[in-house]
Amino acid sequence: MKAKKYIRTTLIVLIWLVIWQVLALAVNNSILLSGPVETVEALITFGATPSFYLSVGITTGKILLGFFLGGLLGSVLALLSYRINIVKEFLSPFVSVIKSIPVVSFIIIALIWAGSSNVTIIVSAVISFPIFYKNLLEGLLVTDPKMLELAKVYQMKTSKKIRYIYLPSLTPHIKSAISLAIGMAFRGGITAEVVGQPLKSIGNGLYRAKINLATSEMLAWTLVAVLSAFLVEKLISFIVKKVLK
Amino acid sequence: MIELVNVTKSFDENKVLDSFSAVFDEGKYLLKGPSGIGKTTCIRLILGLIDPDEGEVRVPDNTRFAVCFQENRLFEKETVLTNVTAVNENISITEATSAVLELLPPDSLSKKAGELSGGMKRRLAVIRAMLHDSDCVILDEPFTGLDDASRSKTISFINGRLNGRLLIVTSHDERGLSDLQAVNIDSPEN
Repeated sequence: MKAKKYIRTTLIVLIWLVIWQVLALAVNNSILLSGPVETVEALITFGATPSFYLSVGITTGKILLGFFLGGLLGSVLALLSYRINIVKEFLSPFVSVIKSIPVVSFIIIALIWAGSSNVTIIVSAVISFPIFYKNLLEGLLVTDPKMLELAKVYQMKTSKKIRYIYLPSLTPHIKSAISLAIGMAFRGGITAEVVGQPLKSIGNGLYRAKINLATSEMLAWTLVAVLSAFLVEKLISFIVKKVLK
Repeated sequence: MIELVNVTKSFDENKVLDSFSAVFDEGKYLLKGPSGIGKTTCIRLILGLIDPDEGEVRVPDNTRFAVCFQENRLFEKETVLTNVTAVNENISITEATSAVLELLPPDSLSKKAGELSGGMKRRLAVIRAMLHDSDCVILDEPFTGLDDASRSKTISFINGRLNGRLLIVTSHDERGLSDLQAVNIDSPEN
């Protein structure tokens, strides 16, 4: 069953690649649209230089750091909001505003305040924070009150309450927050790099490809960004699955 | 000794208890009355989960309760043994296993609570309550969903594990509970 699913997914991806290549051949202008073959060629060329790996590593590291900082802040404040209603009321407009502010506004503010080298971390954190806050608070608020009554009557220790009552309720919300936040943090973080152009970064590579009108390079960097986000999300989800088992 | 003194409790416009008084001293008690009469409300008042509108609920300080709620309230994704040990810190696995095997089949030990049948879940909830180190055991409709044989075994289990603690049981079915002192809850005049 699983093998069938993989074969079907692979076939679908292959069909899309063929469509892309056919379109690129039809357009016949590599500046307007480079095909997958040219993109992979560009990727292979990048792969021969150590600075490529450094750029990918630095960008991924910064985004992950921002993701963890935002996630930690969101989780702690969600817990405080759950325990203290006034904190929830106080944070509610702040979180709503943060969610609706365009990412580019944050990028500009972060560039002014912290410079281009830190913009990726700040933007990833600001994007991750409300996602974790909202998801975890929701998970805490839907924890079964009947089970909490049971814990109260049986005077369960906090560690056991977390293990047996809160975590089962929170797990789907944590997974959903990670999946959503990591993708958005990558998108926001790389956008911030394109605007801020810190050296040795995926965003800087994208920017250079743009000014050189090198579409195949731009698509290759995009592919690297997508793959990095995908692999990081899978890795974190795997760790979370093992921890919350 | 647990006392309810002229307790009145309403939910919205519905008066469930009206100047209800009862004393639960040492021994075994059966809170009697048809469904919806206020047995569970009475239990929730004793446990301090709700407050009376009028009257007083007197429970000695530091009274430790063990409860089998009307709903099983099990940790569905955990094993049968974990369900017992999660709320019973000081109990050994051997003791928990031995108690479980008195009421449940051996193959249930490795099962998750969510995989058990309704009657088995009910018995597990009773086992968990009876093993808890407490001063008072409260069982709210503990025999729901049990056939006659299981009911009889469960009553024996409760008696065998009570060890002189105060027992308050609610049930609309009195079979096998004749040794419990009956406490009637009357319908309030709304």
